Amino acid sequence: MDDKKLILVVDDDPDLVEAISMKLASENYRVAKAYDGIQAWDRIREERPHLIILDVMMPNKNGYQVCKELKGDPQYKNITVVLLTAVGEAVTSTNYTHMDGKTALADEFIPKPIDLDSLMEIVKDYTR
Amino acid sequence: MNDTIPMEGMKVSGDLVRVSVANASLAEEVVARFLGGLTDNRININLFIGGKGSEGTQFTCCIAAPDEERVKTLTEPISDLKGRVQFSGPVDLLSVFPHRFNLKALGLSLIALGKAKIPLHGFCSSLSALTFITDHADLDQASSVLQGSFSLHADPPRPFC
Repeated sequence: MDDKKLILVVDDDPDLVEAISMKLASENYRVAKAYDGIQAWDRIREERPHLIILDVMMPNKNGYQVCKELKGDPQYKNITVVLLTAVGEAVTSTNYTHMDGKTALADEFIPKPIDLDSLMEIVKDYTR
Repeated sequence: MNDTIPMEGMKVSGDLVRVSVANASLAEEVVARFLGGLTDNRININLFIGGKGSEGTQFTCCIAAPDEERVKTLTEPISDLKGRVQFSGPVDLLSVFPHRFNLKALGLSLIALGKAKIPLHGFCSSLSALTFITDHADLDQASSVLQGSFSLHADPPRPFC
């Protein structure tokens, strides 16, 4: 049986998804990809990832909504969620608020632009 | 040819204007001044294609349509840009991804768009995507042509903006 941990990467920026996926693959993780919140839920149900790297600002369903739903679902609430958030100034210019982030109950928050090495450290910590 | 290349999605960035200096070559510092002006004024560049030759630099970039007047104002004090910068009508960026570094994907796209006689104002590749600049009026047709050229993910890749 393949004991590599499965990480789901969700972002509407295909380049960021690819960059994170390549890094994860090089660190011996299996990777699933999604490009919006609805697709993310499809992947979660089909593949049940160990950890989700989830962008906030996405079409169709944003990352806060996905996280909130996930953490409120007994079947999936134990899946670790790392939210990729825009830094302070950018957040205030969107419809999202810091309160959304707090109530989404993510396990970790990482500001964008992301540092891939820091992200990998977090992924490793949660998948040991 | 029945080869189909799998793609996971398609992305549209719309409501854009193309800014280009195609028939003149500029000194690098002129381009740097132009780009610096955009940066200082926090004007987003959705795509930038530049080419540097022995005679200078040429470029095409795409900005949000609502930023057009601000960009025009910014170019006015740069004398080397006078009469050389062109602003197009509305354009969109159409991206398919991931290309997985398969050059055939680019070939298929160009052939399909060419056969459909869809004007292409530029294209580029990034880590994951192949991106094409098309006139907004051609967006639907270009989108259909590209969708027909690739085997898109079974779990529907909703084209998104």
